Amino acid sequence: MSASAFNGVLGRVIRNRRILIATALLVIIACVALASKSLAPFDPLQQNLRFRLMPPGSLGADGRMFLLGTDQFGRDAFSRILVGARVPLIVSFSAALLGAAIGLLIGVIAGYFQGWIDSLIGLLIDAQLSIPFVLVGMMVVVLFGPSLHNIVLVFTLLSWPIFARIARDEARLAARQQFVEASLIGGGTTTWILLRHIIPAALPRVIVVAAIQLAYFVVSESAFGFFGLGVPPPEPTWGNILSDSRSYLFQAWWLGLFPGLAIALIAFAANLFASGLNEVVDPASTRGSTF
Amino acid sequence: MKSDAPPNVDLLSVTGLTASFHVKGRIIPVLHDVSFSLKAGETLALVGESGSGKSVTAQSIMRLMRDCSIGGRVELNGKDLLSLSRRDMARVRGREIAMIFQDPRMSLNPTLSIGVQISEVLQRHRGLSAAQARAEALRLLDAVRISGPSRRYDEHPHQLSGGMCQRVMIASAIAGEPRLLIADEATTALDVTVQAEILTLLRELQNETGMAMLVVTHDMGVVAEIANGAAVMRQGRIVEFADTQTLLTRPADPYTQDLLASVPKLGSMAGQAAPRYFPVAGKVPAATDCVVAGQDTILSVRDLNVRYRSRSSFLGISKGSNHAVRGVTFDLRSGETLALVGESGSGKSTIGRAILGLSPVTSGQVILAGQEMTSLRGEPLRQARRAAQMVFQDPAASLSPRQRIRDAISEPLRAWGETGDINAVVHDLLVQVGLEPEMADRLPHEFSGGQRQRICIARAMALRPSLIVADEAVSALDVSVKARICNLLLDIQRQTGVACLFISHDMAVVERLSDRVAVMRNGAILEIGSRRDVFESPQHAYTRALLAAVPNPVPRTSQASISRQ
Repeated sequence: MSASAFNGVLGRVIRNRRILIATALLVIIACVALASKSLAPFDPLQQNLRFRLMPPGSLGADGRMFLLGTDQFGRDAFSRILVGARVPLIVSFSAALLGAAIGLLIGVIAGYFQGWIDSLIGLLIDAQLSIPFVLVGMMVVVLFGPSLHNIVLVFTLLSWPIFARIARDEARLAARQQFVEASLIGGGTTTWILLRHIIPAALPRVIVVAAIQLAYFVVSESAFGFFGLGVPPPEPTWGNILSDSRSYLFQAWWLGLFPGLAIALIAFAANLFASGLNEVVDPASTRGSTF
Repeated sequence: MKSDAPPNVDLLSVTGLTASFHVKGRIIPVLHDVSFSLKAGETLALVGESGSGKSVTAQSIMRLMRDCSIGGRVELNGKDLLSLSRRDMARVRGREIAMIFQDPRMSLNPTLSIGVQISEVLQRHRGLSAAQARAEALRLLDAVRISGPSRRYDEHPHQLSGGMCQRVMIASAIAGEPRLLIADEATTALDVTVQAEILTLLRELQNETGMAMLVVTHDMGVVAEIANGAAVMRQGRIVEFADTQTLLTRPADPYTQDLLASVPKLGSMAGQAAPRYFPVAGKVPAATDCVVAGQDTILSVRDLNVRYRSRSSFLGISKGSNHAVRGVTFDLRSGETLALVGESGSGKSTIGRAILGLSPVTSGQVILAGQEMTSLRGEPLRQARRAAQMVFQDPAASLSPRQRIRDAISEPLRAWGETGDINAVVHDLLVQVGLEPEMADRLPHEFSGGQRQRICIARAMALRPSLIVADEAVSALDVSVKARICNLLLDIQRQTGVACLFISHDMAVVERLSDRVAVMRNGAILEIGSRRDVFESPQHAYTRALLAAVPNPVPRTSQASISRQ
């Protein structure tokens, strides 16, 4: 892609309102997560059994306010949500990025070349998608132990088939397009066509799915936390905060609500980003909502 | 059949019809004060180029438009259709007004047999029992001249040809005994010989049932064949409304005159040896004759055969093969245009693709600029292919929607690693194809169909090829645009001496553009020779049938070949 076209796409990315809002949200969330240790009003690990399950806005012993209440050990819920953002964000961003990149490459190769390569990759994708997600995750974590790296590895391994399948369909469609044939006749080599026509055609939907997966990973991280397969306590993560809150749902609704809202906010931002990008990358499309 | 309406009263009367689309909160008017009327037993044609509003008019009468506000009056037998409730309107559709569309395969349900689809209409609209409906469906299939209706009754759409599917659509349209049949480009997607059959069928059915027809078409030839009167539309307005005879012989409106002048007329080249420019309205081309072909042979095709193996789904066992191209041999010299004409499935496109190494060749030779192509693979094939470029039918599909046209046109140059001032080359190419160089940074969707085809031609010329394969390159374009693109092709040929393999089903365009013509059927060349020989003294019966089937924009009374009573 030449510089002018790149500027064009970039220009449209900057001018797109959805992308702007979504990026702003994601940047704020990321900054807060990075600076969470210093932003948190309390030590997220500091227990205080006198102030167990206090509702939001309660005052502590020293007159400081528990903004979002406290949990069953009297730890400040707000501080825990702030600090707990780090693990899910790192896990889901890296896994979505890695999974999308691997899946895109494999899928595009399958979809463009078709034939036996496609059959083989298709078989791999189907085989892997038929194995239950959590089961494989458990096996890996049991074998290699729970850690940040292993969680990212598990999520990447488990998500590439989803991306590969989409990239494969898009590449298969694109390969049939006449402009690809026109490029071939114009002297385009296989690499040329893959880089200039097939990958750009497959990319938008892969990014859209990556954004959706991003939100899903944030939730999955909590599922893994629930099974004790996530990053081990006492390190707070939205996952283990959420799973702890389940036991206190009726006494302390705030423990589940606020991390849930945080996850929803990320999912919203990621989806908004995806839909905005979809609009920009496919300028001829008229779809899109009024937002 | 249903002649309760007195013959001299208008069956359909449209008065001051307006329509506006609602797009993203904006209102875009598409029809302005459209008025016309139609008597029972008559046929009116709505004719115009794409975007003229002819289909919108037809769909507004049926109230099929979404996100669209419609004003004015549409009266059918004195009943105002626009003021009917949705329920009442649903009763009018199919029962009083029926409609057939361009693509019969899209309009038929692929999962139901054709008999069932017709019976369904009969049960719904005429309240027949299942047994009665079956008997009536068989009668209708017979009425639309489908042979062996009881055998066909249980067949599915994919087992029938396009023409047969359109007959089935017509059968289900007349099943409700409508007073008015709207045919929206109903023969556009069909081969000329099939189109001629369908037009005859529609005329005969009209004689039998006395229904009125509203025919939406872009083809002046179809107007001449079937309509009593025609309304010429442009930009949502009717610019001329006259009986067919007057319209074709003494058009009053300048736009109609332009439109008729751009229509390639079969036989207008009688006595001419070389290709000629189209007389584009208002401009008489400086040179009317085009280049005389050079002497060096650019392309030789020797005994070319292409077979597609059809596999059964079980274990990929070969079930047999489809012989798409059979023993085709021809030569093409520089500066010459050879037209491959034939109907769909005749193998003409396959030859074009085989020459460029896009289709596998079963046997035979393709020698392009001295290089035998069929044995090449990979990089040597890429190198050899450089001498030939291609222009496709659908310019929208052959340009990437993500690529600026500067990048699209320069892509072959960059793919070949050409250095030097690529922008200057793009500038020159754009000028050559008659576009503004300032347009280089726009995206394809900002251009019209004709402009996009110019861009595709510019891209094809970027590598200075010695052969251009134009696969139905002007078939999808509006008549006035078609004439201009044909002139552009002739211009480029004169300037560069490029040879052209012009693949087309359009006999009238072929007559204008080509030096030599090869008529194809079932993968074989039936007849090849100079254009004059093929058009003025066709040797093969099929060539004569093909020429006779072309609808000509000449009033029917003066056409001897059309009287098929």
